[in-house]
Amino acid sequence: MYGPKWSSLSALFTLVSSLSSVNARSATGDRVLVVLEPKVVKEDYSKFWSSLEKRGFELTFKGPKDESAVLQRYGEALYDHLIMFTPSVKSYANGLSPKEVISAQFAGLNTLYLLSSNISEINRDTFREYDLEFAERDYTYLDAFSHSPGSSLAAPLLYPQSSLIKSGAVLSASTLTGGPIVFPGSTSFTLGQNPFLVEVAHGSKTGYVGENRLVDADEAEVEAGLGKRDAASTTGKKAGLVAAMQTRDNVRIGFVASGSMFSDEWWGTEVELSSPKNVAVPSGNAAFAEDLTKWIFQETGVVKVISTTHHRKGELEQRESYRIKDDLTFSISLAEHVTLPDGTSSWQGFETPDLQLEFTMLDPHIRTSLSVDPARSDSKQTTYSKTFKAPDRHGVFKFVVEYWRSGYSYISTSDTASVVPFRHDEYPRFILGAWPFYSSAISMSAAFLLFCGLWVAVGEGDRKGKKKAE
Amino acid sequence: MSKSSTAASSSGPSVGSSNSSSSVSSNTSAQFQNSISTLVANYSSSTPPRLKLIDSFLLFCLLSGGLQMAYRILVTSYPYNSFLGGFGSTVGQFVLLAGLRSQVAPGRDAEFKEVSKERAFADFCAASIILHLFAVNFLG
Repeated sequence: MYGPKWSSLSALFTLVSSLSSVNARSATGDRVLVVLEPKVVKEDYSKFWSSLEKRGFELTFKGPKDESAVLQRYGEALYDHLIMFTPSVKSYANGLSPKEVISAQFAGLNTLYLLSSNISEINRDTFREYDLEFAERDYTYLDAFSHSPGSSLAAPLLYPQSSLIKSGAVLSASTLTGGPIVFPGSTSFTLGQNPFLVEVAHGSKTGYVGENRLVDADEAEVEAGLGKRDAASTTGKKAGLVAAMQTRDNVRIGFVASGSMFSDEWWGTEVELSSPKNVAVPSGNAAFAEDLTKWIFQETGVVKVISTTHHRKGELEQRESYRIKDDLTFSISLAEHVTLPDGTSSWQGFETPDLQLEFTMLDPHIRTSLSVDPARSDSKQTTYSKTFKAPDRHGVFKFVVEYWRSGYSYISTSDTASVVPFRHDEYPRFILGAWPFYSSAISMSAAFLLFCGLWVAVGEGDRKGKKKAE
Repeated sequence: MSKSSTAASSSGPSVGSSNSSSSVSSNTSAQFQNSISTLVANYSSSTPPRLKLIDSFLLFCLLSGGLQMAYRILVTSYPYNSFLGGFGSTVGQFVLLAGLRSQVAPGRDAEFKEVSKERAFADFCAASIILHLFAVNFLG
């Protein structure tokens, strides 16, 4: 009787679970807007798009001047992530203007900027907002020593060991030790003072940024005479190639100086090395692109606070106020976002040796390390706790945990509790050592009463005596 | 008790003069002992009993205060408020008693003519009660 109903329900259930297994790899969402400039041929990057779709993202392609492209409507984000492959675009549709993009980033839009050596002025101005200064137009990252024998200087090979920077959770270990990355037609940038920017890849020792053209001896002489010098603007490791940025709100933004490194030409193909001749190794482009997009689209390095508690040692209940010199226990549970092998998204415990707690009133009065509490940790969360003595200061204190490590979500929590002195009736009474003082005061009162009684008695006797004498 | 007090008021000066004349021949320590015993005898014979009562209370206050100070220095002053309560009641009681004594002692009329002895005692009682209330509050 219930057979058909049950079967339809289970079918629905499997449908929902299969949908979720496809959809929910990112911790924040799966709607991606891809903005491609006309020069970029979408089909040249089909392997990149399909790798994103395989990871559960829904891609929407728009042109930079497409007026139907809107990032937010009525304060609601229409996309969770954005890929901007529009380096040379001189003007944008209203919905994609740099102002709109930045305001959407403030609201949580993760963005990947794919660039080339031809960057328009409007884009330069936008990137200055992030404190990135790009090389001049048509200046390309070149490497005369490290590129495939068949290709030009402008398609240099970056070796992970020397050019990739291990910055937290951005790149996986296999990418950091994997094959060389082809980095064709790339511009380069220098990072400013912005502390939220992290360099992910920089040029190799033999690389430089300059104009990619061959000048014969006569031309060179003429240009030297005109005072024009074909010098490299940036050399070596100073040439930034890939940068990652995470804002205070954990919105992630990536800058890749060569968008064409994601093209099908180098995606999962082999590259010929220059120094051992005729040796071909798998390129690291696909692995690098997947690591970077996983990080930017909030799949890796996402840590969240599950709960924080504080209580007196020996108690379990959280209080609003504690007494000075109380032993306090603070615990925090953290979880890290992971993608299970079957493609579903999940949370697991996040272990780190350097988590700190600050007990703060204006300044940290106590700063102490938090250690893992194995009894309260499980596969879904890691609980850290610490017991410490409240300072002998009363006021409004905060339990602050701030964990800022590049590549991981910024953890910043604060719980407020007052620390109060003893109330007048909370002090210990009838202290053994004070009995001499107690007995003195009591005996003094008793002696006073006795004195009064004697005084009256003696005085009466006196009066009688006087009377007698009279 | 009443007899001795009436006797003391009349015979005090004569006893002192006879003692001073008899101590010429003895050595200094004997002289000292002699003068002490004269002082004691003089005191016991010439002081009114109410003053003796006050003096004994004063002595008790001194002893109690001294002991507390010794305890505070040698052992502990940990509940400091208790020390203040105990020691303060001793000192305060001593001061009030001294005031009472100066108001009721013989020969006070030059200074305290307007204040009757009863009035002085009533003042003392009121002040002492307040003092003891404060002291107990301080004990904690």
